[in-house]
Amino acid sequence: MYRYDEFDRTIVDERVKQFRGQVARRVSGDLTEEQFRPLRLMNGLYLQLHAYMLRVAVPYGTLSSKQMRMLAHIARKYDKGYGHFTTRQNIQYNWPKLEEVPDLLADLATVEMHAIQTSGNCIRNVTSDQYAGVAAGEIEDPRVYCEIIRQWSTFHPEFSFLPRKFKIAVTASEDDRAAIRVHDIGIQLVKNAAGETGFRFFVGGGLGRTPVVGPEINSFVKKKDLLSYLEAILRVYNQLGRRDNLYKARIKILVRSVGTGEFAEMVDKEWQFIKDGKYDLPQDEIDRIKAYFAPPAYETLPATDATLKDKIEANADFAAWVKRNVAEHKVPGYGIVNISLKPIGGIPGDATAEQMEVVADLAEKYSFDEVRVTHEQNLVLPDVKKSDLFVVWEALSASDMGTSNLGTITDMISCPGLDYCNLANARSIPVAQRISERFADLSRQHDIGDLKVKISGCINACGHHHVGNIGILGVDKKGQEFYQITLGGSATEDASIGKILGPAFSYDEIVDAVEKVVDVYLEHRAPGEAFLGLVDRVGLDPFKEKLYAAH
Amino acid sequence: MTGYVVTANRLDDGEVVYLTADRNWSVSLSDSEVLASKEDALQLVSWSEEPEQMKDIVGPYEMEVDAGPNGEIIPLGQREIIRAKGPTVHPHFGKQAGRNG
Repeated sequence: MYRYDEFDRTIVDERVKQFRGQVARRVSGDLTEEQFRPLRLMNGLYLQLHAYMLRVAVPYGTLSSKQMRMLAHIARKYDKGYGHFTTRQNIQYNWPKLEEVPDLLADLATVEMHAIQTSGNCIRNVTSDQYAGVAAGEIEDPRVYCEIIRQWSTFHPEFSFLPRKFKIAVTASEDDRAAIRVHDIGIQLVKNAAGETGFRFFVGGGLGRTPVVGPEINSFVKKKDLLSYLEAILRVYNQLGRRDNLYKARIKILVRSVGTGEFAEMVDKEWQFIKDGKYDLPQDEIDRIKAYFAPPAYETLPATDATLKDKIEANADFAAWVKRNVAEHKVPGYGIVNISLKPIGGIPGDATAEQMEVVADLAEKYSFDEVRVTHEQNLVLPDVKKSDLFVVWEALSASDMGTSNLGTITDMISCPGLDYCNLANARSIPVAQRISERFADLSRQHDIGDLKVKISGCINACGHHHVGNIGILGVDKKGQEFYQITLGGSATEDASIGKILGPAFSYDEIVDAVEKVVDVYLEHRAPGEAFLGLVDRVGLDPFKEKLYAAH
Repeated sequence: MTGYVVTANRLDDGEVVYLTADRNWSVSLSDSEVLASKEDALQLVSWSEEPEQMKDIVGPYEMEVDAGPNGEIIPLGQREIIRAKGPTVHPHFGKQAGRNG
């Protein structure tokens, strides 16, 4: 994985020192809150309902064991013993004290981590496919380009005060696990007819108040043009994006208002000024970064492992976990282990310091020292030998991280909601917990199959509800929590925005309503038909009938 | 009968605080001064926003409260109920932790 060079180290260390001074001046009264607020936000520090919240960047979701141990240390020393993994592949701490944050950041810097650009109207942490580098059929490791974009966008002087925050995701697989179509810019590595590798650009996707599936504006940008093309898009946005209305400030609104074709032309025009110049990405620079992501020293192994087969036959729970949570690896004899942070009745994405340490130890012992964070709030051990799967599963199970529910109804995305968040209108986490408990029976979950439920506590949609197969949006009705259901959303390569089913349900009714939606699916599905397939085929009417007929 | 309380977050740790009659900030809602009108509360919010007060707190605003059967102050709305207690999903964290022992 990428290691800091002297420039990275210097800017992170200097930023910690700078922030320490800013905190001291705020505490002494030399800085007003109005002056201090943008400074703390630039360092990922928010003020939530009960306390400060610090968002720490996990670049493209990749962590070493050492870094994961540091996250555990921070949870223990500066927080209440846990952290929350987010849909941006980051981690958030919910209880740090203002005066301790500089020390916390100094500790983070010792393992090459920081909270820079995790807030504010700048280019945020670039996200990627959690299977990057290990997925079968992938064109290249997309993290190479994520890292290049990270270096380009970090402290970019022109793009530090954009009209609004800006999110970029990169993937290199046909199967989109990074939700690229609902990002400000989604980049897919592709090959052209000549067999060259380049980038397909989707621009103006997003969730929130105005959910949009990002349209393609360029089907092939050459590798050397990656940064000049990105620069051109950001320049057009920076100049023309709306700054007068917070709700219309994202690039999606600009793309929509001028039209995709016109926007692509504007970018192209800007691009001509800077193309083939200082923003060219030389091949030797790509190669230099690529070396950091070189594959580990895999052993030559048979594709199937005899001991694994025996264990699967002897242990039904383990067999279910392998089937659900272990994905195909590009190297024979290895598997990609998905660690569920969704135990039944648990808080989606939360991990205790002890759990983080267990994961760090397992990564060190069994996965070439690497961990990934997924945008669906789980973790991944990317490189586990099939012969080690059983011992890894035992260790995970002993720490409540071995639930075989990846992709099932209990593997929900949930934002922090009104339990923590200053913007929320309703609670999300307890709704997720109650749904999880209702569907606790694993055989029932496996029978239902893949089903993505996503919950947001307000229209900002941090819980990605618009792209949930079943989306749940918390709203406030005269001080009471209500929940609106959307059906048919998807965040993958077939991205779509869910449609609103009907009037919202109360906090007490929402779990029953979700169960009825599932009942309709089970009743009407053709053999092998996915939830989205059924919604496409029959529409919302059978669901409406079941949910609202008695009302 | 509903009334109003001025609330904010404490600067050093973000803890929820309430304005008392003697113009201090308390972590306990029961210590707060209940004002009869929103106008009175807004005047105190303006006072709280003076640089001198803002040395110790962040983001003061007025919130609506009700009186309980025994005269206790009850926050109105789920948001203020949660602020007054702590996260409902972590009964051992936040203000409620102290109450539980």
